Amino acid sequence: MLSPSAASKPAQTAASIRARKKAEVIRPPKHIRQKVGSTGGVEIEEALGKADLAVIHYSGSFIREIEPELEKLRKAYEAAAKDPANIRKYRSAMYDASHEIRGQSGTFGYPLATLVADTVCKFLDPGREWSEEDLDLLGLHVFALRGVFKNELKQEGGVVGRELTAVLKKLRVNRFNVGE
Amino acid sequence: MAFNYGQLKVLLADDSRQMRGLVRTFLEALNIKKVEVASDADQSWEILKRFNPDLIISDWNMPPTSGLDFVRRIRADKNSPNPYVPVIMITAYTEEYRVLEARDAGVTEFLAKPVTAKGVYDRIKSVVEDTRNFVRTETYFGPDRRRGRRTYDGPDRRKPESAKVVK
Repeated sequence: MLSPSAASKPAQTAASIRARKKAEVIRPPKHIRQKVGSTGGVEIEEALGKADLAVIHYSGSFIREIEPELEKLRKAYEAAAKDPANIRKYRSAMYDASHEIRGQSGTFGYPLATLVADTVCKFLDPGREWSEEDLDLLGLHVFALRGVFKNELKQEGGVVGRELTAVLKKLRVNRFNVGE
Repeated sequence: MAFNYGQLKVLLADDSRQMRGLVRTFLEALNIKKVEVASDADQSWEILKRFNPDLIISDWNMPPTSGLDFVRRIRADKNSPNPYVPVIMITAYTEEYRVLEARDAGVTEFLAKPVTAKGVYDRIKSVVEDTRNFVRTETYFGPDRRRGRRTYDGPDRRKPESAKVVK
């Protein structure tokens, strides 16, 4: 019988041992550091402050840019709702659209949309079992995402946003054991 | 001390026009003006061959192929112009298995969304200060994946003085 400490170690397969034995360590022929000067750089705090102002410029057209992904999500959800037995057919389309929305929304001033879309991604994660009850909850999330953008709920989204956030956080703890 | 990034050439790959515009603005604020942009992996490969960037900043999701496929090609393709080029991967994925997948593809650094100017700056600084060697095994080629403090006290074959310099 294995001792407790031996049992907790990952198994060393013949392949992993062979791979370790043949590991070759290489110093790259050139390093990015050689192209970077030690003097004459910009004042970082000032540069970052100015750069962050660019977010305001881009966030003005963000809703228009993200609309195609919202539409993809809505269409895939509606197809899944009509054909729940074949949810697998629509799952990746819903996941991909939600993933784009969660990735970009926070960057362009809509962290509430990121939270909603991230919860959708958690529902649709390929490694997760699916239930029909999830479909109803997904529908509410798709509806909520539309609401966030239609009402331009930026940042925390005011009173409505805070209430939505509280509900989502509770759901995420109960369903996915995900905290802050 | 603030590094001077003015001579760096950067390839920025993202399928989102908005994201490309924003990150490019962040780079320009750091005085990085030599920037070429691409919207998918194939276009990125063509620019890589022609432009020979010092750094690549790539999104993970760039349909029809992924940023990960692009990184694998950079590291493994015999026609790769620079298999050692550092790659910062932008991603909204938070699942551990996905992060490990990207690490095993040879990604140098991660930049988690939401993207901020400070996030971009921090990752570039980290790449510039990164002294890791590259490792080649039967199943992997890329930056040494062991970067944390370890308790192992045997001989360290991956110390810089035991590394082979590639001409």
